[in-house]
Amino acid sequence: MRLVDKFTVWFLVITAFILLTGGLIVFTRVQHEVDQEAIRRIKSHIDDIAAQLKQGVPPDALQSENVRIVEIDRGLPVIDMNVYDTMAVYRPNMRALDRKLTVESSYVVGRKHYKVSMSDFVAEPDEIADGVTESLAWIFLILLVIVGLTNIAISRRILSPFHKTLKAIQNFSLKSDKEIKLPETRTQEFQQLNFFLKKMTGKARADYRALKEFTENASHELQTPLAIIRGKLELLLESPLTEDQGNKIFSALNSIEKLSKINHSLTLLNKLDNQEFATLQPVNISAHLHNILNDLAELIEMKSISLRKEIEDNVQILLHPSLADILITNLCSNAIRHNVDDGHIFIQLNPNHLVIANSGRPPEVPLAQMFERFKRTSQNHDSLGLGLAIVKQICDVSGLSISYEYKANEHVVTITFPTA
Amino acid sequence: MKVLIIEDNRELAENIQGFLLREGYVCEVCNTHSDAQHKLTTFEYDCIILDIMLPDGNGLNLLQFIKSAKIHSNILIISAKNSIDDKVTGLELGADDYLTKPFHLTELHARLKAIYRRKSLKGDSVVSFEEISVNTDTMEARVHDQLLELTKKEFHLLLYFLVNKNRVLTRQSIAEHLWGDYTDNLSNFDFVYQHVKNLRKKITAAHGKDYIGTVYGLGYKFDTNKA
Repeated sequence: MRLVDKFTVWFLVITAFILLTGGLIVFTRVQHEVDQEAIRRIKSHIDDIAAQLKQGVPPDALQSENVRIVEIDRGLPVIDMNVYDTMAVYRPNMRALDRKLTVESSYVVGRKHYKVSMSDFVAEPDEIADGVTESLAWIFLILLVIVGLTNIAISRRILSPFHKTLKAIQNFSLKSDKEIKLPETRTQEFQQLNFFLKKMTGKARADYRALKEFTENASHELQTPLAIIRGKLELLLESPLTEDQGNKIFSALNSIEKLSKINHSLTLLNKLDNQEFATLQPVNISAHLHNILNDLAELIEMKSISLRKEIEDNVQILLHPSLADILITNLCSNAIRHNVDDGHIFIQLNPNHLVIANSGRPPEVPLAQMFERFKRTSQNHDSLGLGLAIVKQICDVSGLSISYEYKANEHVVTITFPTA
Repeated sequence: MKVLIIEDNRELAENIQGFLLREGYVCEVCNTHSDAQHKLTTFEYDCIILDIMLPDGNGLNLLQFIKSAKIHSNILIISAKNSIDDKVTGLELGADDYLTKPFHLTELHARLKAIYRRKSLKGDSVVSFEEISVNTDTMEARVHDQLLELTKKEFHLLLYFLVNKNRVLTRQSIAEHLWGDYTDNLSNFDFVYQHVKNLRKKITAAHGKDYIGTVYGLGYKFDTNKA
């Protein structure tokens, strides 16, 4: 429900309530005024009659359909004014009952005590109520239309800075160099909102930049000493060495290799986390796959692995070309590494999915942890345990879905492409 | 070959210098942006090894300076940043190659030679030693003028050996040279062994001398003094 609709509903509920109570007040007031007016009129008639009585006009001459004069006991107290409210037939031929007001007063004329009563028909309460209800209903209807129309205008006008702000937030990207652009507004709440948003996004961007700088610096600061150590060891290799020394240098170099690769991979993962690979154009994944398989052909041959390919030509996927290479290389080299001698690899590529299946021993890591960082099987100490984590991350940032299963002595990795 | 090394880290610069001096190159080192600018305007170099992250100015600015001053040296960028953007910008600004730290010195040398061959020795795309010659244009290798049937990897391996004669090439550096650094695959050493074995077999089959030898099981060496 939109904000403006909520306001409208509340407004209408309150209006309805006020109109109802207002109606009640109007009804009682109108009724009261009508009665008072009638009573006053009747009373003045009675006073006229009393004056005529006092002048000696006989009571019978003054009586009519509405006026009754009766003589009452002198001992009774003088009645100033009594009002009766009864229902009576207005005219004999009309069946419906009407409201009839009767006013009576008594006067002492000479030695006689007369009670004069006069009655008149007045508007019934339900007639008044009908009138009040009808007019209020019209008021409510007019309000409904006007409020409805003005709400549309108001939501366009007053809420427009808010909608612009929403749009700005939606389009906001941490990666962008530009500060978030919020609309100018004179509404205090929106000014506050924009102020906080500006502060928040500013902080987020600063933090993001700091994180990015830290990642880059960490990478830089680590790579240079690594390069130095590696260089020194390589220079050391040029001097005459015993076999034992050579072996030690070799294992030191191996560790540097590993460290450098871990560093590379973690930096890559960070870049993926930061979504630094914006994808603009589809990449011909078939061509990439063919190239990489060409590069790996010798490795596959050396392990006497048989390769079966079902690769459709010109499969286009929205993916960063570097990521496409890393993704395919990691998956293919995994298929080679986690294979058995005389094993096989099956690769299938079509516009819907990429399947890479290879023979191999059952995984030692639970399936759920397969894509976590630094989870690896103990058979392969040379593996970093980051390959599949990188693959997963690439799929996540590129909108591909990946699944892994082990069935019939085969590792099967399936990457499903989004339907275009 | 005259080489200028622009690198703020003295130790690293020393490593590179030490390695290249043994090749008989003239090597000069400068550690700052301003020093480099001064040297570049005063002397001429065949090759410049440039770290693009310098303390007193971005190396990319230096690239722009080199371009605007019409200095026609070959430029190899070394950077700790393995960033595609930097790579692209660097190459667009006129650098010839881009190498990410930590690199193998033998790899650095191979890249340097490749640029030099490509740009400075125009037309001379043949690298040879005694009876072995390798043509980098046609991707052909010959021993005693007899064509060798080499795979792509074996060809690159032979070239790597010829460029780094009498150097110990570790198995790591060969693996990285042949397969790049993006594979999460450290067990390529068996494959390195296979490739070296095949290469040696093919050279000796063509009556070439077996110059390539094992060094303590940590790597291989193309030994020019070998009988």
